[in-house]
Amino acid sequence: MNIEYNYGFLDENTKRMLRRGLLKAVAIPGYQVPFGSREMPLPYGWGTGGIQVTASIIGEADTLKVIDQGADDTTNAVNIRRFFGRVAQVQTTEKTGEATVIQTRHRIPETALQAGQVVVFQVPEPEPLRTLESSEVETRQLHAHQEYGLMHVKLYEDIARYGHIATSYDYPVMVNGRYLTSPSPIPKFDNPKLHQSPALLLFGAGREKRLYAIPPYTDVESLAFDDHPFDVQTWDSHCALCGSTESYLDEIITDDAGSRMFVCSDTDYCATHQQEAKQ
Amino acid sequence: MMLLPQFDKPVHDAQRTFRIVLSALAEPLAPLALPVLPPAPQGLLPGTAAVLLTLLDQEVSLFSANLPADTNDWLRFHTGVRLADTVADGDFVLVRDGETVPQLASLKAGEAAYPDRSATVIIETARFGTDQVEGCGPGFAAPRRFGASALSAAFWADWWINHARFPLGVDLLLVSADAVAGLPRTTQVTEI
Repeated sequence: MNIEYNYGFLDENTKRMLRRGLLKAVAIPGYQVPFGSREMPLPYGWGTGGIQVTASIIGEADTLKVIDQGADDTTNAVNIRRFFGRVAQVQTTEKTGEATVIQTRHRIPETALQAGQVVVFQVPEPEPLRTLESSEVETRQLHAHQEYGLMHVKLYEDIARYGHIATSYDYPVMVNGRYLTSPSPIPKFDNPKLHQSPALLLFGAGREKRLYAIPPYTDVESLAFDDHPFDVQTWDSHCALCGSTESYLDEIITDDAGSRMFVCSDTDYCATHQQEAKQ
Repeated sequence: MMLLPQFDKPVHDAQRTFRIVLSALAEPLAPLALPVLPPAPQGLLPGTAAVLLTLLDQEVSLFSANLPADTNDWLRFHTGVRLADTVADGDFVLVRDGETVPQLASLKAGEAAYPDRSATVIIETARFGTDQVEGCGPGFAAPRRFGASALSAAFWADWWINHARFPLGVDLLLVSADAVAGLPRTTQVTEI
């Protein structure tokens, strides 16, 4: 059976609602704008928020890249890419540099983002304070009053218990010096890429029905203390495939005798690097 | 009286227009050419018609003083927008070229818990320039100079008050016959 959908799957009213929400999100960087999240043809937790944001902005002139943990070839990424190829007839690519819209789950590409690109993040939990305060009414008030002591206490407790801040992903950031914001579960390794990014960063949480944004060239500061400054993960080894010492590495177990190797999480970056090495 | 049509290709033209409006707000005070210009009804610039068709529908309200009846009909027919009775009620406020910009503090500014429930003001301008202010803030790689013939020194003084209320406040779209520039509440300006 051949079903014809409206361009980009969503109906025009839904797109307009999302678009108006995105404009307010850009005007109030880091603030979570509520929106009427629609049922999508995949379950919550598979990127419904990101897909709705992408569907509301994408057009025939766009080239879409979709990554899941940095990889273009995992199930979630392949399916979402194919979905938009079908419902929006857009060109798709695996090359970061060629994409105009990049939808991502839990990574920011290693290749530097460019002005004019839009990155759409899939967000499971948009509220950075949620694990500390379960009530939405309360967290709204905390944001309204810029009352973020709770988060500092949490980070301090990490230091008291482990000697360092143990949060390694979804590391909270202050956007434009005002709103405490979840960067989505990207590794803290990627947090510095949010600061003064030339690309527009949009965030969509489908189940939680929230949108937020970080405009280009906006200050994004990872929370820290003067005596415990923010730092990112480092590795002793390099990528086993391309030899990169600068990218975020995944540890892969290769047999049942405990052998392991480290490879780039960003498949496009790794492949490009390998090609360059061959030449 | 024949009603003027809207976009030739409503889905794609609105999408292309929205992306320009989004970029304009993400990188404020840099006028961008609008990609599609529908035939404009009486009393509206073509650029304004494009922006209104892109953003309005039956879920929001628009305030505009003294809009010609035919233009009202055009808007209601194509978008289904509700017309607000007072300027303080409008989700969108349209200020046509030659009209006075209302005091920004008199518009919907949102609430502390929901600053997004605030007005978007669309101001028509004959020309853009670089002679009035220098802006900085989110979206500025470097300070940018800007001017619009519709905006006066009194407006820029009023803008300071709007900016200082952050996160409350209103956001502006400045529209000429064929271009749009954004001015979100985060933008700080100094007069030159």
